[in-house]
Amino acid sequence: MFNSLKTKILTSYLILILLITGVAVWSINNFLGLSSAINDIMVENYRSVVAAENMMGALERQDSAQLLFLFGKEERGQELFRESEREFLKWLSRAEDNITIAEEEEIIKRINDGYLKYLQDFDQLQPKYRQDSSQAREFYLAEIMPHFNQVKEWAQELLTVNQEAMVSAQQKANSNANEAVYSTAIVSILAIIFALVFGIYISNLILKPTEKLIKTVKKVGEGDLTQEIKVNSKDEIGELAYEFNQMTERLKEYEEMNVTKLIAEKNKSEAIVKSIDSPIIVTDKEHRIVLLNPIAERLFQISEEEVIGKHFLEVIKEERIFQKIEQVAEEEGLKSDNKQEVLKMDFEEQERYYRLMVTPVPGKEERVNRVITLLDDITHLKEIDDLKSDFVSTASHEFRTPLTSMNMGLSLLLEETPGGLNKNQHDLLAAAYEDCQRLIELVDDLLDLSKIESGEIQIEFDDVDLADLVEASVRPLQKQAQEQQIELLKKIPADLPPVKADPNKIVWVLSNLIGNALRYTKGEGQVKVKANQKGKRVYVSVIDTGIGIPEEYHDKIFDKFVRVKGDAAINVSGTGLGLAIVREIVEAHSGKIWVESEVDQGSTFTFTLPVAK
Amino acid sequence: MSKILLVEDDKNIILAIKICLEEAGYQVTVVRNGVTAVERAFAEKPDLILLDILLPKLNGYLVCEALQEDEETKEIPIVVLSVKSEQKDIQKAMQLGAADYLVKPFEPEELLTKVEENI
Repeated sequence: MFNSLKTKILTSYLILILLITGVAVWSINNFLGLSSAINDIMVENYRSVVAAENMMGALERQDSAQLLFLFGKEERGQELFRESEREFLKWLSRAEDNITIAEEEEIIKRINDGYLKYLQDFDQLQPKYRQDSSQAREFYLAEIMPHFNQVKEWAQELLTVNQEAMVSAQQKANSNANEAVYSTAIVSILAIIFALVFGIYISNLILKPTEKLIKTVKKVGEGDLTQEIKVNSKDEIGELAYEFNQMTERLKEYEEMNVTKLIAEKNKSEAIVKSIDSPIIVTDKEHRIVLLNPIAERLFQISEEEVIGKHFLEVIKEERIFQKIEQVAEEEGLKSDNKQEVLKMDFEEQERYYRLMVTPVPGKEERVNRVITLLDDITHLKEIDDLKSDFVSTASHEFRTPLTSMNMGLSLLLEETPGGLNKNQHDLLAAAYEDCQRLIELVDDLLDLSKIESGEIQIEFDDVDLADLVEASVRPLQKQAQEQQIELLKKIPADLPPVKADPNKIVWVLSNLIGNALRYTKGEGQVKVKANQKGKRVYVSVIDTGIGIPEEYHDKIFDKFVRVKGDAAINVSGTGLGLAIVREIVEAHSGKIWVESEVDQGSTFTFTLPVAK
Repeated sequence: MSKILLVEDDKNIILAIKICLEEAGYQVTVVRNGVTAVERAFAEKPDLILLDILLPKLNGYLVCEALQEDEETKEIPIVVLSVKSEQKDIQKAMQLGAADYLVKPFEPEELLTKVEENI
């Protein structure tokens, strides 16, 4: 019946307006009744009352006129009588015209008859008076007086009847007014009750489906797409509900589609992980195991089914791996750990080497969601590397024996122990001796590097005072500096905290850097060793005023056998291994090393060391 | 004139060391293997022994041990000459009774200094 919300609202308004109109009509009707009752009193009875009073007045005056006549004033009496007669008749006719009560007619008829007799009496009185005045007086008392009283009485009756009618009319009006009050009150109350009930009904009619709609929308909003709104009305809300159901339906389809895609993606990545023949463990942000590939199952001797959802450490007792996972998960900026850490583990009772690679997987808002731990099996590489180190080590040792005799021989010749030399002989031997020295240095460096690279050299950490290390490095080079006319300075703050370092290795690093600085400073100049603390690290710099390093070498310079082009031309010896070893040592101290330099201005080599805890 | 026993198997090194020491006024006896070294040490009682580690028949460590066991040779200072430069090699030699250690290659002055210090 109601097809739209608008009609519903309009209809309910219309009904309420009709109701108000009804109440108004009813009230007006009541007021009208009341006013007509008052009118009745005025019109119907009041006039008769006035007429009766006037009739009584006229009659009194006629009586007085007769008395005047009887006392000799004939003319005056007759005149007054006739005048009053006209007056009486006027009011009588008024009364006759205004008969409203049944009794009135009869009373008036009686007055009419009585008054006629009274008039006839006066007609008889006139001749009698002329004959005998005393007889006339007796006639008046005997005949006229009773008639006069009779008419007066009847006029009085007319008055009374009308007065009573007025009283009753007033009572009627009063009761009418009361009735009007009650009936209006009842009608109003009924109307209010109806309006209330109707209002509730209409608002329910509109709000019920709205509430249903809200509830369902909320549930859908929370992700429950199985919800359907059941609204039967065909109004706007019904339409809204229908459209909403359609939308939910489409959302459901869309979601199902996405879920299918996601499952496909998941299966794909799982398949990839499982097919990789390096152990992979995927953990969530609480470090629970999410995924494991078969090779990892074999390595850790666990089965995926049993460990999924369990904490990493509960299943895999490898503190070192877990530390790295924790570190990567906590670090901001989602950096994967590129530092190559090699772990030695038993794989089915066979010793194998794994490179640990831990990569964070971002979730929402750049936060770590998953961590992928890959153990890259580098046993084969390690074997080759060991072979290389062995070879280098053996070769270096083998070189040392011939170098010993060569060095001694050349040295003795140059000292002219076996006999004097001419200038050319001396120069040639000096050149051979210099190269022999270079070879010795190279062999030493190669040996050092191969040892560090193979991890053969253990870094022995100690809490040490950097000032002591600098002193130990500078002292042996002081003489060389003086010879070169280079100022060798130390600038170590007195309050510098101790560092966590292997003193021998750091002295080696410093000696190497200072040695380089001296070597690359031609003519007068300055070499300065400086240190300062920044947070949990101490920055150590070796600053020279030497020839500087072109920018393209700033990164490469720490690689093996890299030498700046033109080094040979300016007659600088070196093996090209020193800085590679320096970097290995600094990195073994979890530090960094870099160079800032400008050609012809000088170079600054800076490395960091951890402050001792 | 101080007597020095040189235990070394490389003929070129022998030549260089011999010239170096003889020019400095020492009397040098050369042996080329560990066994002969021990025999000669007992027989000659040199003032100082220059000992290589990598030797035929009996290596330098064993020569050290053998000489330490006998009262007569125990007091002879031994300076080890070796291509092994690691701390653990040096420590081992010192524990077995060596007085000093010189890593090859070295300068003639270094050798002379070590000899003078220990003789």
